Amino acid sequence: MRPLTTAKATAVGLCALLLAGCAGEAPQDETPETEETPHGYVEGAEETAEPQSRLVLADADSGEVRLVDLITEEVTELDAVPGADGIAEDGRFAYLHSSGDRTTEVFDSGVWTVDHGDHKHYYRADTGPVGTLEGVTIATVVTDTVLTSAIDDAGTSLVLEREGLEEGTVTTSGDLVPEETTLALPFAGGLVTVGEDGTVQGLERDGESVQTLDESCADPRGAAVTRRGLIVGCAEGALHLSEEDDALEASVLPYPGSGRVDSFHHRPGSAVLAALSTDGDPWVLDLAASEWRALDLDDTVAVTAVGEGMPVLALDGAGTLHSFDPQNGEETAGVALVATIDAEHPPTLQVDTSRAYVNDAEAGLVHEIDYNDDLRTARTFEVDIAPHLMVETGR
Amino acid sequence: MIDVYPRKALTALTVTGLVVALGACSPDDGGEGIVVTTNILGDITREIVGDQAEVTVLMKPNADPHSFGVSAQEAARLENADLVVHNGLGLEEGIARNVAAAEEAGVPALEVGANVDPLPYTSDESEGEPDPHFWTDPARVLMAVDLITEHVVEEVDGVDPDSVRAAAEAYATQVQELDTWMGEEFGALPDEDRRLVTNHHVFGYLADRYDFEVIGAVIPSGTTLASPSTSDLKDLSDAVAESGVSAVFADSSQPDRLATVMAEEAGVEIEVVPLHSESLTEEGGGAATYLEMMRANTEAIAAGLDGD
Repeated sequence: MRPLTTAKATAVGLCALLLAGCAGEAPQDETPETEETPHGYVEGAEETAEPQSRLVLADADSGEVRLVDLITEEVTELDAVPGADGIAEDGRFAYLHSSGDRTTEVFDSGVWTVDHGDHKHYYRADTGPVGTLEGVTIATVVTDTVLTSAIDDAGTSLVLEREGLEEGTVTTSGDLVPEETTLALPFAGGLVTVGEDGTVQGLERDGESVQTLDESCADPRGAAVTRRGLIVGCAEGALHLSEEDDALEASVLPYPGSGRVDSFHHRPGSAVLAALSTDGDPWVLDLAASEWRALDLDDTVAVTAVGEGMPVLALDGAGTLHSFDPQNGEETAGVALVATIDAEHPPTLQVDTSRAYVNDAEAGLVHEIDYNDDLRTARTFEVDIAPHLMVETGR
Repeated sequence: MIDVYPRKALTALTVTGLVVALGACSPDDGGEGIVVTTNILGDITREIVGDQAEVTVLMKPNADPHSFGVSAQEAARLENADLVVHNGLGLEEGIARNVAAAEEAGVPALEVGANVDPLPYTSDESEGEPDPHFWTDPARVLMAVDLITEHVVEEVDGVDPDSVRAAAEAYATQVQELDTWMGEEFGALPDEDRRLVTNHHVFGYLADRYDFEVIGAVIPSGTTLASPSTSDLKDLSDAVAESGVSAVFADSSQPDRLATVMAEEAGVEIEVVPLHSESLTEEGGGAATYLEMMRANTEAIAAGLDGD
C-alpha cells in the first residue's frame, strides 16, 4: 500500500455487522439432510503445498485491472474500476478504490494462506468480483477468520463479515460497536475499538465491552496485524496492543521525529514494520525491541520490512532500490531499478517470504527482486497496462 | 494479513454452532452410534465394527486433520454418540471443543493417541510435546485396535461382542502382516540409506519403529523455482548433503521443476517423492484405507532410497 492521501475524505459513520447466530449454520439450514461441509474443506478451492502468490495490478488512467499469478505467470483481466486511485488487500481480497466516485470494488484474488501457528495451509481457487462498498475509499484492511475491518482513508472503519466475502458478497449492517467509535479492528478473537475521543477498548465479538485501556489513540490512521500484536498509527505514536492471559495490554511507541504515520508496510505478520512519515521520512518499527528507528535515506517514495533479522527495503525518487539492515541502519545493497517514478502514483513494495515486487508504471513492468541475493532481479513481468497500483495476495 | 489467532476464532465459531445444536436437539443417552474424528481412525474403527453399529467419520477424504470442523448437526451427533473415538494430542484443533463438550455431556470418548505410548516430538518448535501422528507405526495401530475394540464392546449397546472381537482379530492380523512386510522392505536398505529428507512432520513414529533418521528440510516455494538463487536452495541442498541420499520426500506443486533446479543451480541430484501423510484419499486415490496408505508409502520410500 502506498501512503494515503488524507485530505478530502468526509467522515464516514461506522457501520458494523453483528453476526446473526452461528456463522457456520446457514448452509446446513438449507440442506438439513445432506452431508455437511467441514470448515477445513473449502468448496472449489484446492489446498496446495506452497504459497500461491498473486499480484493485483491497476492502471490509474484507464481503470483496467490485471491479476498476475506468480506461479503460473498467467495474466488475467479483471473488471475495470474507472477512476481507481488506491488499493488495499487483506491476504486474499483486493480492495480497489476510486476517490472521485467514493467507491471501493472488492475482488477475490482466489489465493490465501491460513496460519495455524506451527504450520500453514495454502489455498488456490477461482478469482472474481465480490462487490462494491459505496461511499468509502478503503485504504487499509485488517482481518481475522470471522470479521474484516476495512478502514477508510479518513481513518474510520467498516466491519464486514468475512464469511460473506468468502461466499462472494459484501455485507455490512447493524451496530456492533458504540456510535462514537472511529475504528474497530478484529484482534485476539474479539474487537479493538478506538473512540472519537481516543479511548481504546477491547470488545467481545458480540460488541460487549470487556476492557477499557489506559492508553489512548488520537486520530487513528492505518493499522497492521503482526506476530507480536496489533499496531495502530495514532497522532501521539504507534499504539501497540498485545494479548496477555486473555487481557489486552497496550503501549504507545512515540515516533522518532516530526510528523506521524498513517500507513504501515511489512510482510504480512512481520513484527518489523516500515512507514513513511507524513513528512516523508522512512521509519522502521521493531516490535521485539519496542522502538522506532529512522532510516538515513533522502527522497524515499516507498518502504517496507521483511521481518525480524531480515532487510528493510526502500525505493528512492531516483528509482534506486535500497536494502538496509534494520538493526544498525546500514545499507547492504542498492540497485537502480525504476527509470521513471510517477510522482502522483509512486511504486509500492510488496514482500513475501522470498521475494519483493516493485511496480514500474511507466515501463509497464513488475520487477521481482530476490532480497536475499543483493537485490537481484529474479523475474520481470510485462503487463499490458501501466501498473500504478499493486498488492500481493496469497502470502 | 495473517490471522494471528485462528485457533481461537475457530473455537468461537464451533462453540456458537454447538449452542445452536443444543437448542435443536436435547442431549440424551447416545443412540447415534460411534463417531470418529479422523478418517484414518475411521477406517480402522469400521474394520473392527463392521455392520454391528453405525460409524460416522467427521473428517472427509483428502482433508486436513488440523483444520477440519463440524457442522451444527455433526456437533449434535457427537453429543449423542454412544462412543467418540478421536486421535487427540492436539491433532484435531478444529473440533477439540466439540469433543470436550461431548465428554462433558457424558459421552464416552477414547483419545487413542494418548493411550498408545506416544513419543515426544524430536525437532521443531513442538520439541518434547507428544507427537499425535502415531499411525505411521503399525505396532501402535495394533494397540489402537485393541483399545477401540474394548471400548466398542463396553460402550456401544447392541453390538455382538464376539463378532466385534473376531473382526478386530482378523484386522489385527493384517496390520501385523503390514508391520512384518514393512520391516522386511526397510530392512533391505543399508543403514546409511535409512534417512528421510522431508518437509512432512508425521514420520517420527515410522522412523522410531524402523530405525530411520528424519532430516527436516524446507522445500523451495513455487515462486523461487522460477529464478532461484543459491540461498533459496540452501536449506534443502544442505539437508541432502547431510543425509547422503537423493530421495526427498516432499509435497511440491512442481516436483520435476524442483529436481531440475536443484541439479542445475545447486549441483545436487534429487528425486522428489510424494507421500501420504495425514489423510486417507477417496477410493482410487492411492490411500483409500489405512493399509493401502501404509503400503503405498512403504513402497515409495523403499524405491526412493534403493540404490542410494
